[in-house]
Amino acid sequence: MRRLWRDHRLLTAAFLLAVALTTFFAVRLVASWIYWNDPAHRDAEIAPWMTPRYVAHSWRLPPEIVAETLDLDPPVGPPPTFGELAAERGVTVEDLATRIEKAAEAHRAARP
Amino acid sequence: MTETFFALVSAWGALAVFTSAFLSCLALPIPTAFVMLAAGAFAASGDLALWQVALAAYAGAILGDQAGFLLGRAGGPRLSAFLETRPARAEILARARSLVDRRGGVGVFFSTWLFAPLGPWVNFASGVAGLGWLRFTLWDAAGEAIWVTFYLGLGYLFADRIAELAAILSDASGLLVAGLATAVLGYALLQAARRR
Repeated sequence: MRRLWRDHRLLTAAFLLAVALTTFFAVRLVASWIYWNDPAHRDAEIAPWMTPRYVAHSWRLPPEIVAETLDLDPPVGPPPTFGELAAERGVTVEDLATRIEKAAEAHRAARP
Repeated sequence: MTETFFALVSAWGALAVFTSAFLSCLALPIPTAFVMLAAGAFAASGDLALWQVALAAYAGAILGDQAGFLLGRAGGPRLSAFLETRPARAEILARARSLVDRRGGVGVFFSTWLFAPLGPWVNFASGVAGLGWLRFTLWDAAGEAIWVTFYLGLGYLFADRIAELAAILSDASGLLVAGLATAVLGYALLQAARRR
């Protein structure tokens, strides 16, 4: 090992760096795999990048209910995101998320 | 960071997918895998049409790979002339050429999807080393079809969990490339140790 280091310093250093990187990614992969399998993270929290239809899809709600809850105009052009909707109305994304949660509860209670 | 790219997809749709696929095939650091996950997810929710984003991703990837390959081909003769001024370098170049000639097509194939971070460099090197255009294009088209189908398909199927999926996939991709580097360097080190 010492001889290798003396004779092939650059190659040995590159190899050790590659081993370190491989370990790093392996640990991170295990961590994100555990996160993926944790049931606590299953319900997608509403984020600014999401669109109304996307939320309807991931919450398994009819798109009309989400559109009604948010008082959306009929779509023209690309769909707005929650971030844009919140900015437009001067509210926070959390405010909109709360409204969706209530509508989802009502919808699910009506049709169990 | 990831969510910025998701937002770009909801704002620009297929255009964002095409542009990001094209630029990332030219080695610009754009997480096109995340862009395609988002495009698949928005296709599942009905915001985007699946065939449009699939076409955009495939066309962007193929055109980007072609651009990299042709750049390598255009710069190749000058680069080789410079490298061949020394006998030792000329020998290494000749060995690289024969490797590309024997295994180049398969290398291009795997660099488009399994070892995607290496893709742009493999395209360029294939052009420099004089891999035939048709051979490059066929292997490349086959590999990109896998890449596009894989990421759009995952985005479509796991639409409600793409943020977490993006984390897993980027770690897996990093692991593959780092593992490949470890294997190659380890082999070179072993050869060096034996030679003494």
